[in-house]
Amino acid sequence: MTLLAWAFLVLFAVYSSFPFIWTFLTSIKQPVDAFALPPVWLFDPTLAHYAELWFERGFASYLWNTAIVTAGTVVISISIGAVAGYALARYPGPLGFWLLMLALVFRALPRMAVLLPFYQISRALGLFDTHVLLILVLVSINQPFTIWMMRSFFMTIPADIEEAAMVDGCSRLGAFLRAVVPVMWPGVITTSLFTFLLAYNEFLMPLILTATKAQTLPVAISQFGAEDIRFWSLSAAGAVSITLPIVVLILMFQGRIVDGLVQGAVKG
Amino acid sequence: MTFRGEWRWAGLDNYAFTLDDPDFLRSLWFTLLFCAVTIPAKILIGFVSALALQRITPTWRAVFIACALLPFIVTPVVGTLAYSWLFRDFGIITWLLQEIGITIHWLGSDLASRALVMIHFVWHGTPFATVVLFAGLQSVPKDEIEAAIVDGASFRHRLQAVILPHLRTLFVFLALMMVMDGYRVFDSIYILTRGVNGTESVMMYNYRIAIVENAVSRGAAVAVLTVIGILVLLVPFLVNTWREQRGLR
Repeated sequence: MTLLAWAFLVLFAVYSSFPFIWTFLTSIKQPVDAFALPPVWLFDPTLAHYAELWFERGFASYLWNTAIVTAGTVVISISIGAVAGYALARYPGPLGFWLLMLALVFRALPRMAVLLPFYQISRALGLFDTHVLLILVLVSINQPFTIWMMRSFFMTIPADIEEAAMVDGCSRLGAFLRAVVPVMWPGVITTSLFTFLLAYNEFLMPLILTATKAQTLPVAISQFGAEDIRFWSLSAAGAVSITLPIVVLILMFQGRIVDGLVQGAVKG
Repeated sequence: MTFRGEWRWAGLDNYAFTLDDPDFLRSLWFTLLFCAVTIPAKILIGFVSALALQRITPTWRAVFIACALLPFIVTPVVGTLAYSWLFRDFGIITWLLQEIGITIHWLGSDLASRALVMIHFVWHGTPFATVVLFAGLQSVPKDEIEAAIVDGASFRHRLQAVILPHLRTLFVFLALMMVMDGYRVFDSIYILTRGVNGTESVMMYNYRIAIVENAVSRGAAVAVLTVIGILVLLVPFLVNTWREQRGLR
């Protein structure tokens, strides 16, 4: 049985990671080697594709757009999510339930349902193809998720903490700042990570709501001539470049992500 | 009813048109088929891998979880591109299959194209099931398992009597999430096939109508129909949360 488990897992790991390993290899091959069939395993690695991508194709400016949009989205989402999540975790009235339901409905909306109004409004207001627009849109899309997740975390923090602080003479706000904020960092970090991934990876919104100035990495990558066989290596270099920040982040927070997933899963 | 002169009251015309459009019905049918094939596959592979993870040492567990999570955490567009490169006419998988005597052009027939997008969706979504179910397995009460072993229950018996009932809520949760995601599949199909060869999902159809053909009103009607479909699927979730919020009092 254990042997069977091992065999299955090895197969599973190869199946999951092979496309990425292959992409990485393609990105450091000479074009001749990249298309060779049967595949070449011994080759002269080259970083030429990375150089072309970064210095000639303006990869850095797409990265800059993505960085601004992602940072703005995370900061605003988490600020709103923390306050709203705290309130919903402590307020017992029926209104809380309906607000959560409303958030869930918005979470379930297909992107296309909100995309059309966003498109028309942004055209009318002259916000089309700007960073501000993308931040506003991504915050509004991700907010239900942040509120739900922060609420789940606050539910695990016992109300006694603030009550004790209030008995000791703190105001409600003072109790929140002095007693709750210090213990809520794990929740904030996990939620920020997921919000980061959502914003960093978003494809459809920037595809439609940007043209040239504010275009983000996922959109740019999908259009880096992936159709043409000669640009495979270049696209592969782009794929590896966009993945690196995520891999670094994941390595830093690996344990927490799994915990966060589990918590989100168990609590809904 | 007029609205600033430019908007005409269309009644339910846009809805009637959509529900009558054979393209819409075809995309709906494909989306349902897509869900029906991929969701059980994801949950099954996820469950087997979670059970397998239980049987190995913790160090190796971390390694395997890291590998398995890759398709799930990497930017979906990039993951899809990486995956699609393997399946092009000069891709390595196509070549390997050719070496063992199977020639497939993945964009050459409906069956192959549909298989391509479905295999991709399973590949991308299985890690989530693995992690959630593995986490769930950690909370199966140990004494119940031990009692079953003492009673001489086989692995299959333990599975049926203890493990599966314990994980029931998680299976429901996974299915719900996956139905929502499968119903809204867009990015991967856009990149893999652009919706040709009978792989147009409801969202792809919606995109074509609203953005490509610029028929905004009809696009909005399709979006509303999709929302209604998803809301129906959410009812079990509502009940659960209602209980949780009442428990606060």
